Amino acid sequence: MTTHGRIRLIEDRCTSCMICVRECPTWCIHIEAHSEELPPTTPEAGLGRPGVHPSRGRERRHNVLDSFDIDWSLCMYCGICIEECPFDALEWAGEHVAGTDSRAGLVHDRHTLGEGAAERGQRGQREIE
Amino acid sequence: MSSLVAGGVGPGMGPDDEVREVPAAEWVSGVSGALAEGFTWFDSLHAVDEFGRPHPELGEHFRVLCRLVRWGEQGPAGLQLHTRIAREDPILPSLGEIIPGATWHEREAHDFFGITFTGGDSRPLLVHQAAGVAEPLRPLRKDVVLAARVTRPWPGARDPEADSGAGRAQASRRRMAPAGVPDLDLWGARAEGDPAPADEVVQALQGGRVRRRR
Repeated sequence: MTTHGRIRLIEDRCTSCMICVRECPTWCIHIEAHSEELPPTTPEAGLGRPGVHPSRGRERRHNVLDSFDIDWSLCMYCGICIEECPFDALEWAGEHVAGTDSRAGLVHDRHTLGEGAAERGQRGQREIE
Repeated sequence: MSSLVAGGVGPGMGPDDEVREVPAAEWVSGVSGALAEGFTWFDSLHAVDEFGRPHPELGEHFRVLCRLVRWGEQGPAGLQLHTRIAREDPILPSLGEIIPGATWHEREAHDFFGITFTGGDSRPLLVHQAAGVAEPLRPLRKDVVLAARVTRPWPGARDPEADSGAGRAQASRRRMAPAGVPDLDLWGARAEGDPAPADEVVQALQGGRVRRRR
């Protein structure tokens, strides 16, 4: 079992669904995100065939994560966010949050939270494959 | 952790714990009986506000539970003693005479829920009385509104989908409310000195998706 040192963000898996932010009892997670339009993905195979219009297909929207912060001065390490994330984008990491000389230093952004995640994401991907 | 766990029962709250319901009048004798059975390691004592799940006799109540562990040859075995006391004027005899360390936990339960443990240590531990306030807030009671939450913006109110165009019309009809913060649509504006009944407050604190009133 991994020790409850800190919480790691695996950014590739995060869909900015806000579930962790809303479930957090101490309100310590902040997400900024926007949604972007994706062009219709018309299947190549269908193109040129009779009856298949090239513009068929719909525009889709997906969320793009702009920032993901955890305020460790508020976090009580309960792990509810990890439990609730439907995409396993959060996990326990062993190393503890380092002390700082100001309260603002305890707010970690997506880059700090994601340390070590690249390797984890790849491993996760291999497991899926 | 796993090195301490033997036979599936650990010193933490175990799903394999034996649970005994004890009437409040037999609270001390029930616990001392368990001590005599060898459950001599005191783990914890705490309370739960079970508001909204009334007991047939007591009505709205608090559950107080004490967890003891017996360290046997097959590893530790947990025992939970549960008792329920009425929410109105909650009183329970203290376990201090038989487990001196329990008074620390009783002081905590008193501060968080306002439960009086007769014969125990009545000094406040965590929640102290503010000047000019008759009775301090008991923050773990379900009908207590935490004022700090009302004034602080909830990070979960944002909705990335709705914030950028497409879902905006939908979002104006529904919105997310945080648990523990009174929803004004349900609670309404109240004059000072006219406290809402506990069930109304609890309902207003539920959170989740709230339909905006027209």
